[in-house]
Amino acid sequence: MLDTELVVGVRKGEVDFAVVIENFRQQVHRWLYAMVGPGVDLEELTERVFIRAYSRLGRYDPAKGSFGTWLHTITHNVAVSFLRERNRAPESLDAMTEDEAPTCAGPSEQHEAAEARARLYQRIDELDPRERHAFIGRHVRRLSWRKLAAEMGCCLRSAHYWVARAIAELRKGL
Amino acid sequence: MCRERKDEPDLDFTDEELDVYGDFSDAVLGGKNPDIEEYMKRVPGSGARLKSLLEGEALVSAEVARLRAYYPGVDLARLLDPDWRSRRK
Repeated sequence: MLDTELVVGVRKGEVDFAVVIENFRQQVHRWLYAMVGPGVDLEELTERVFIRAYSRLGRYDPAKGSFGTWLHTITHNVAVSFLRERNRAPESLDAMTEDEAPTCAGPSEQHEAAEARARLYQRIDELDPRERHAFIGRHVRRLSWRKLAAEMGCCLRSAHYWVARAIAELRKGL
Repeated sequence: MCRERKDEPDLDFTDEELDVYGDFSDAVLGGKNPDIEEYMKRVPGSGARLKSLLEGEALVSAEVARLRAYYPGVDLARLLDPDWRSRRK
C-alpha cells in the first residue's frame, strides 16, 4: 500500500495509525538521532512526532507533497523544539510550518528544499545495500576511492561501479 | 574486473567509463567544476549513458553539499544510512 493510500485509510478509519508508525518509525528515529545526537531518549521524541502527526493528519494534503516530506517536517520541528529546550539549537535549524503545505508546490524555497531532502532520503533508503554503502562512503564520508575499495573489500574499479550505480539511481529522483 | 555485473544494460558501465567517472568524481569532490564534455572525449562513442552519469555526479554532489550546509555539525552518515548502526558493530 502506498503511503498516501495508508494515510487516506487512517482518515477513513480503515487502517490503524499503528501501521503508519510501524512503516516510518525507523526513519523518524534515524532523523531524530542525527539531529539531536546521542544520549537522548529518542523513543520519547519519536512518540512526540507521531502524536503530532496523528493530531494534524487532517491537514495533510497529498496533492501538495509526499507524506514522508510532511512527516520529516514534523520530525524536524520536534527536534528543533527539543534542542531549543536544551538551549543548544543551531541557528540554522529553524522550525518549518508543516501546517502550510511543506511541499514542492509551495512558494517557499524552504519547502522546496524540504521536499528535495525527503526525496533524497527516500532514494537512498531504496538503494541496494552495497550501492548505499558505496555512496555514503564516497559522498558523505568523503572517502578516497582507495579507502572505499578497501572498506568494501573490492578493487578500485568495483568501487567506481557501485558508486556509479548509486548515482544513476539517485539522479532519477532529482 | 572484480565487480559483480547486474542484468541492467543501462547501468552496466564499461571499464573506460568507470575510469572516467572516477576521475570526474575526484574533481567534483575536490571542489573543482569539471567540464563534462572534456571528460566525455576520453571515451569516444559512450554518449548519453556517460553524460547522464557525470551530470548525476554533479547534481547529487550538490544535493549532499546543500544537506551538509543545512545540518551543520550533524553526522550525515547517521542521518542517511539506515545500516549505520549495523555497520559500526
